[in-house]
Amino acid sequence: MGSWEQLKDNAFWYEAGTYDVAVIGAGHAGCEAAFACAHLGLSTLLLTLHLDQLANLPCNPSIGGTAKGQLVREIDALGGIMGEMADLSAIQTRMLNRSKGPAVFSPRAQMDRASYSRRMKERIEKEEHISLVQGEAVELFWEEKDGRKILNGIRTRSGACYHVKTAVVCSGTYMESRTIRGEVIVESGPDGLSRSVGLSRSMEEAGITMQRFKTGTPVRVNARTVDTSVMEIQPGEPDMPPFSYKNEMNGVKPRENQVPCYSVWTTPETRTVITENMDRSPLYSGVIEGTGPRYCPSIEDKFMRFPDKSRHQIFVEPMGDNTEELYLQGFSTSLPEDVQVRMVHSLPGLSQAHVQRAAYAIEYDCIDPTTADLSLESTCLEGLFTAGQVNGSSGYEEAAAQGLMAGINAAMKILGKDPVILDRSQAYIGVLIDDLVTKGTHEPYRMMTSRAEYRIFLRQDNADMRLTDIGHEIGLIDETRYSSFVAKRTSIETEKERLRSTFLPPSPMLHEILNRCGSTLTQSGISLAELIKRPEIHYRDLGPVDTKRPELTEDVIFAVEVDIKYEGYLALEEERIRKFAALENKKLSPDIPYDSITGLRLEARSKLMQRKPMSLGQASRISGVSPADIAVLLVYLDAKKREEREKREE
Amino acid sequence: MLEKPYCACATPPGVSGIAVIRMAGDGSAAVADKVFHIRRAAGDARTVSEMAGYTVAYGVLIDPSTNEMIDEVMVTRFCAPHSYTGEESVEISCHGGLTVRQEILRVLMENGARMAGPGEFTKRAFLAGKLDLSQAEAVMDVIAADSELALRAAESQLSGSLKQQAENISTVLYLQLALFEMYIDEIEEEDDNETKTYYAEELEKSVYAKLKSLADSYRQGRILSERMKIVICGIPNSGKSSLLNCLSGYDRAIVTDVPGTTRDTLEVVTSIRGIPVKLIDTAGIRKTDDVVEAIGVDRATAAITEADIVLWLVSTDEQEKTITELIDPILNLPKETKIALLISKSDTSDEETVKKQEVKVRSLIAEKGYSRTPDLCGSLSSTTGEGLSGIEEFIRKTYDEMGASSSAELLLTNRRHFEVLSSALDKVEKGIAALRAGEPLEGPALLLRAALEDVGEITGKTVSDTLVDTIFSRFCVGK
Repeated sequence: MGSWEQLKDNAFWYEAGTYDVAVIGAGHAGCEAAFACAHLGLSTLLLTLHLDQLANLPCNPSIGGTAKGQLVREIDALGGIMGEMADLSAIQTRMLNRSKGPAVFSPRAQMDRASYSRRMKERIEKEEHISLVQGEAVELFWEEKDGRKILNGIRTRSGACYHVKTAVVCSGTYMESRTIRGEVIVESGPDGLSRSVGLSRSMEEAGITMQRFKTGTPVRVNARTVDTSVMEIQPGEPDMPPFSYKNEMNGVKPRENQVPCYSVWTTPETRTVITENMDRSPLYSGVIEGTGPRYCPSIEDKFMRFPDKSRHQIFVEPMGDNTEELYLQGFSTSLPEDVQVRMVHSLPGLSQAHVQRAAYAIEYDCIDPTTADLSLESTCLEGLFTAGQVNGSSGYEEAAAQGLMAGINAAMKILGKDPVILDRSQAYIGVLIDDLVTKGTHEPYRMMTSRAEYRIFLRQDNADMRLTDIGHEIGLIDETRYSSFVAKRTSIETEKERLRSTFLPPSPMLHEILNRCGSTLTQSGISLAELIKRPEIHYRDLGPVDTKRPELTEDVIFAVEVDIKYEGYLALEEERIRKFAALENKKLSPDIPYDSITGLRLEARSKLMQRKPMSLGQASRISGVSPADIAVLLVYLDAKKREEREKREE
Repeated sequence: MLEKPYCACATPPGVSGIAVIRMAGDGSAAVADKVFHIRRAAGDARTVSEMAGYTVAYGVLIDPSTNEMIDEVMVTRFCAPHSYTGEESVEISCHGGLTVRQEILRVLMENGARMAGPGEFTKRAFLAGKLDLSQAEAVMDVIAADSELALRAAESQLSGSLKQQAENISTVLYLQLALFEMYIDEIEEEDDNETKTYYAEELEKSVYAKLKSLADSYRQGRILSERMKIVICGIPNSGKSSLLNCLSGYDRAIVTDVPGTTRDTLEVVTSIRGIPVKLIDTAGIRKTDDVVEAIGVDRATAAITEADIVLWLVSTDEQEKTITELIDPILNLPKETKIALLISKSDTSDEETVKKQEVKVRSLIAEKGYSRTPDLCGSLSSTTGEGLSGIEEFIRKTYDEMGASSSAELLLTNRRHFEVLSSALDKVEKGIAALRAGEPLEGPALLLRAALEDVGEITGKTVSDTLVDTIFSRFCVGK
């Protein structure tokens, strides 16, 4: 199995062509991966199970949100397309966490689901170098060289065999999946779409450890049968900046007639219906084997795990412009259909609601991501990259971020360049990938801001400052966009400098402003920057006394203000990043004989031998490797360095 | 890998009743077998190799080349991994004389052992996972401790009490941080200012108070590792060198009647009433044209500013002019620096003259507008020893007072620990202020995270390469 030779015995197969990269799956990860590869000039095959379901949003009809909005901005800064497409299909936009600090401000947009998918398909189809094909990959081919397995082809269900140098598997929740509603189990992908069969086994044969995860999606109802007047309304924000820096540059604004969302709370009746039917829940009867996400639990899970909480909030979100379908966020369940209807009817304003699609849980195959390296290439099968839910993550944005990086790194490999690896101090993407491949995950992994140690530095507003240079160097950011980025960077720096060096003498006008902001008056001259540093004063407030103020765009003003207000925090963050980098920069060669280093605990030895971390920093994050082991390694590296130095001197 | 077992004397140098020689590494028992003849052992073992771990044998240690007996000894056997370094090892308890020890070490080395490098046992114990970094560091402190009090402080750290306290602080910090993180990531609305004030109070009571108390204990603890600096000053020929000799107990300084004999600062380390001190005899402070003496005067002025205690000598016959010149540099010292005014050479005058001189100095200080007065006034004769015990008491009292500001159960003696905890303290303080100011939780969360990383340098949770460097620069790391 797994080689071209065995095909001779196969009745039907044909040579379907040669590609640099085959991307398997055209969801959020697959589209980014294919786009990146094609944009870097590689011939790219993009296989999808359903040509009408590209970049499908089978769960919530929104993109962005806490920590996820940051990811979308980062994807865009590197040259990915999720943000650009999302801006064009948004029917409502909001900045979440406005009551919190700027580090956790998170843009989120409600999508017209059909439009998003259609636009993405069009975008992909228009891209040179991409061959978009409907087909189900069922087998990987490889050859063995010096004990290593190297990928060299794939086969589809219909017998098409492709010669490829690399493949990026973005199988989402489709591999060997089954959906569950109470007692009813169907072998199916999400949304009733057909699933992928065989590929998972082929990956396992290549030596990759597989896991089985579970996730779920809630009920959809018809808006015509829902009374939104009893619900709390959540309107969009008119002045939201777009996700995409490119769209921002081109003046793309959110549309005029934004669609509202609504929220309701569960009632005592909801609880009763759920409790009375828990014996029919597949989660509790043991039918579901896969591990579900703790951070996105089903409604019955919430009631069971938090018995003290009498009610839970449910958000009602429209699915698009040309549909009456509403999505009930927070109401995912795997209880039987008849129970689901009663649960929905227990909610305020939904007593007459007509259920159009029932909720379900879905189980699927994914890999143990610790078998991949930081470039997302498999350590078991060279040339095979994986991205998205197949790596154990959850969420569209997490998938797209990995898809982009896997695509970039597949391309780098073919082009003979070093892989692009973002570290934890550079981007949420770096945190995401490092968490997955270094720590591994036993449940669908969701991005959260608390996972980012350097959160105050990793903000949505400065994603371009952090990553555009890298995107440009990779070749995904064109010159026009790059030069406009450089201009923005310069104007932020210039303005910060101006604010620091402009001093205001005490004046009646200044005192009036300070009074109005509830700030203390100044007796002597004070710089504009010092004033902006005060929490109660904003850049805008100082307009009347700041006469030489240049004309600046909103995003520049925001960046300047955060940089000045958070100066102290950012300095501390920089200091922490320096310490972090010291361990990250201590590289570990893959041939270090961990099993013969005395002092390493047994568990650490075997974990290190197996995982071969790239740096001491990465080693320190492997579970089972303790700080004491790291100290031992530091001493080992130091002794080794001396030894080499002495050898050179001899 | 054929490595020789290594040995060293584990008890301090100097004559003692018994001494312990420790030998560790594969083959330790085999080496011991060559030189040790068992007379009596548990379980009828005939050789060290036959002995069970944690058992003792009595016998004689011989030089196999001559078959001569060196000493009657007790040998304790340790089997890997149940020993200090985790390796096979042997401890030989012998008589405490210097020659005996040297002979035993010689015989061991002639029979297959080698001399251990500095700190090698500790380094091996660390590498074998028997000690963590903070314990290894404490072992080095124990080895370096040269006074009773310092040793006690270092030992309490070795037993892990500092680590335990740091861990308690970490736990509280973690819980608080987890709460912040939950609000930041999970809850739609941020906490109101009232709740933030509550968080601030909680932090102040739990973490801040504990950290502060620990950090404050360094005021006293520092004395144990770095010694109390006692600077003796006064104009030339006021009897500084004589006092130094009295306090240190031997003629360290050359004492003459020619003013300006001590041209540089002279330092003597000793211990007074159990407290490790560094006595610094300064060149007399006076305006001088002599270049060499002038350098000495600069050093003296510098030494005063770093002093914990200044012993200011004024002889009975000193003139107003020179007394006045010293008032500013001494009385301007921060109030933490204790000042003792000592009317010296009291044996050369009567009691009344001495009293008069003291009153004169006091009034000169008052005339200059200082509200502060010397913390001790007394008379002193280095010839008769009068006033010496008063000075010693003053030193002890000053030391005790240094500890009064801290209620910590243990004493921080290590500068690195102090710096790390001060840095954490500073961050927690800023976090409390930010909470009180109603700032978004992400700022305080960052500060708590950073404080946790600081405290982690004591608990061993945070590994930084500089930390390992600092600690192991005291070891002989190498081949």
